[in-house]
Amino acid sequence: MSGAVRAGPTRRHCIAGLAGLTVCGGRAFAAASIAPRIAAPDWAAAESLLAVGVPPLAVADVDVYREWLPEISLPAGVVDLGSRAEPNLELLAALRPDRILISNWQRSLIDRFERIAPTQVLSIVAPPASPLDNAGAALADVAAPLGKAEDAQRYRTAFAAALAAGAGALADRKGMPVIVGVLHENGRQLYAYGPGSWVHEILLRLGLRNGLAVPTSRFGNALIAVAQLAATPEATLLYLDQGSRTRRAESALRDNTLWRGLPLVRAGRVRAIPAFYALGGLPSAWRCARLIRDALAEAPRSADG
Amino acid sequence: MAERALPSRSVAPLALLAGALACLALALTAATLEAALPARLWWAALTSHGATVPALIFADVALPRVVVSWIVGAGLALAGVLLQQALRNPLADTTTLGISAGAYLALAAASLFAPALLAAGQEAVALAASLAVAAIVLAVARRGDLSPVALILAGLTLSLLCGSAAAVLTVLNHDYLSTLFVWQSGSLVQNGWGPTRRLAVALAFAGAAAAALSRPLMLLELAESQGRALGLRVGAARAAAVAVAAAIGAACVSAVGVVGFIGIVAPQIAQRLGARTLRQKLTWAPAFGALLLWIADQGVQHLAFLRTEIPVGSATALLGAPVLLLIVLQHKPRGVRNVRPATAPVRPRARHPRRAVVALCALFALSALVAMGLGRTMTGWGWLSADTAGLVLPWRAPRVIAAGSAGAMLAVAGLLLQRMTGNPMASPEVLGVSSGAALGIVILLFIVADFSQPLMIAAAAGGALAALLLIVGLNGRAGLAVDRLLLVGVALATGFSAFAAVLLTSGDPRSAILLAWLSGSTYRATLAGAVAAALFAVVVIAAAGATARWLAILPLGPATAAAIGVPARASRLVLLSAIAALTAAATMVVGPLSFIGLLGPHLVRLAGIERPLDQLMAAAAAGGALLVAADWLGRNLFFPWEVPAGLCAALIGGPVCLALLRGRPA
Repeated sequence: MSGAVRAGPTRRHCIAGLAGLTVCGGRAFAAASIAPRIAAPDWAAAESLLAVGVPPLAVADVDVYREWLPEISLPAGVVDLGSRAEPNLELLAALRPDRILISNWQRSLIDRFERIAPTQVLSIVAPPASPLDNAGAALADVAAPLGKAEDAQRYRTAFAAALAAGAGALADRKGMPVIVGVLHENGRQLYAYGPGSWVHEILLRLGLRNGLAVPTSRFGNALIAVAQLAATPEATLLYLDQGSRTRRAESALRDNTLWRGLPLVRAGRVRAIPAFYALGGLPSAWRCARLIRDALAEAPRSADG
Repeated sequence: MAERALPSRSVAPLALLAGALACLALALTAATLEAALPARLWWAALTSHGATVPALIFADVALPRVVVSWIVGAGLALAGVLLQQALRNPLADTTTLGISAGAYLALAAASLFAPALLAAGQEAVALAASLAVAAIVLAVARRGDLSPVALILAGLTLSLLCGSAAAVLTVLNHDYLSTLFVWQSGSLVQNGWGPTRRLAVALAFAGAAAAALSRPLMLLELAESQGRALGLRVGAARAAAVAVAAAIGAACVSAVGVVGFIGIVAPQIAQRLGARTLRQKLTWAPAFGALLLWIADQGVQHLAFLRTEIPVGSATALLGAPVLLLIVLQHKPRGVRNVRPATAPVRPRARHPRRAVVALCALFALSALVAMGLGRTMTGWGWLSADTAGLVLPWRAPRVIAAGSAGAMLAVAGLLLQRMTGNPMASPEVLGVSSGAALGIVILLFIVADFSQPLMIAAAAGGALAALLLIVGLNGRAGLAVDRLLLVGVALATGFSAFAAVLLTSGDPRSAILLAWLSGSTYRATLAGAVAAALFAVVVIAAAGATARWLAILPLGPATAAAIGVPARASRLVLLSAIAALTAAATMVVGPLSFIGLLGPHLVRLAGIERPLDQLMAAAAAGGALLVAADWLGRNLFFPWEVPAGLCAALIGGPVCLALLRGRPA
């Protein structure tokens, strides 16, 4: 079982991760036979479980999970609960889980889940607390009752070390402003991550600066017009590649006089990075950090640098 | 000729208000442009193109945004005038006809399934969809000789259908949710002059077509028989006007997304202030449309204290709703023509209406049994066994009971409302009560980070009550005039959807939960809540049975009713309370499902059931069965994914309604 889980992207990334910014969710499934039956209707809990080697019984929206969190791969037998906003309750009840882990944005459903099994809420994006600290704490909270506290601690230490190593690798880009976001396919707007999201914190921990200069929503993002990118001319833009919609956004922007006139576009400081789950747990944050580091390691420096 | 028939009035108030609005818009715009680029550099930015980034933003972002607001505002108002004249209903708009929903659905579907199509031309996709929707509306309504009622019914049904299908797409792809919603709520942000130029050309053509159509449309204002006697082909004139409006709507949606309300408010303002003839309306309504959208769009750019920019589609609604309320309060609406049930689609009376009622009740019971017992599990389709019943029924039973009682309540509420107003467009949502309940929930989401079931119920009840008090308060002095009631309801509903759109575009992950609830999901139903709703439904529907005499007499008109001895005001208040109670209770259980309230009574009427008491029972059974079936399909079709019952009901009921309308002899 563990062979299949470890194959593919995990091993490749382990080799590729020169500065240690690598997700090796490895020690994994040795204890699968005595594994508790835990359902994770949100991905933050699912990936946190996998990080300490406990496969979840059931996860919501399995297809998009596999797209957005390829490193933390789900075991083949995991049950798909459907929508993350409305996980299938009949199915969940029929599975008879021992425990259920949800995210704080699903808290309004907690009464339902409590009727099926004891339910624990993970709060990751919950201002004003640091979402990165929250993600670490969530991992510890998930691991402790499973007797995996040490694994969680090891994972957190490795993540911190990877961030530090990433900052070291990007030392010559210290203080460089970076904007991370999702292009809207109309080619006029983008969702950018700012204070309140762990993307923002990762930028800071990598020794970078967030180039987004507008206030963000409760969930740490802001919808901005493309023109607002001109406010930080020295920034680098990293946009998430979400497939065909991103292709459309790119083609809309190609013929756009404003876009082509933006300093960061003229200087070639724009790149696509693979998609990640911005409301996820520590493994998602690790993936995000690796994607940012990899993208910037190849990117030209700021105009002033 | 028509101009002679009407007293010619001074247009001074029109010019005065337009001037004042223009000054306000200019001041706001000057501030916006100044923020983009200091005024002394404006001329240089225009002459030496794109030298610096601020100059680029001034010339390619800020300026086209202003021009686009003029064009879209004028276009939507023009489309509104054309539709209102053609359909003879002041609530007609590109949204009423389904044009906006059709274009949005096409864009959303293409974005998910055929992005290559959009790459080839987004405008073309929206235009094709809008024209297709308009063509379907016209084809369906043709049997009714394109009568206003038939057109409005077909348009409204298609609008619900497209809106529901688009919502299903977003529910099933909710990682794309925020992206799709940005489109739906309309934003005028521009990055160059391309869309502006294309829109300008489209509007120029539309304006020319409207000018050419003005004479035949003016004659439409006369009674249709007289128009025909004057050599006018009524159907052709109407069809042409609708087609022009559809083209305008398509161009606007594909360029900037859905911007509602301008098409209703601008013509209303023009008319209130003295634009009486069609030519005056065709001149002044676009002017006010342009001004309104201009102000709204400049205004949202100055709301920096909000965390994200409000989509202008929402802003126009927020701005327009109070304007419409003010107008409704100050004047008695003249343009509203109440449609008598006599002209509404009526099937020949059923030979055995009682048997039809019994059959519908049996269908209701059967649907509930199947919905409880049969369903999909991990291992495939199966009936409940003694083994599985204990695990599954606690989740399934409340949803079936909730769906059944909510469907019954909404259908009865719709029936009462349609009987009371004599308007076949009337449904609980038109009254604004379900909007009020939903608004309560949305406001709760804005204020509180984590919300629980009791809080949600309290918020919904509070919102419904506030809406009811507002409706009664606003209408109290006028004796609850029916047309006024409808306009107030539309204002409330639009204001609500604007609030909801702001939340849905904010990138908040809880918006998926909100969307599911708004779409009529029974996911959150509890056994206690469902049983309470069922008991409440039985009691209120039984009480409504006591008003059967009023229901029989009220559609004959206030004069007749008064002559027979039905107290107009008291009867309306009682019925209104019953409708509000039914709607609020149903909304709290399954979200604002206006759709069942519209379709239920129509199905009953089309089945040939006419006596008020029979209609009440039949509507309750039909509505209940419809929503139970919809809920069952929604739970099983894409298992383990769930489609909300309200969307399913719309997707099943919409085509049925269209088919019935189409099959009906004129």
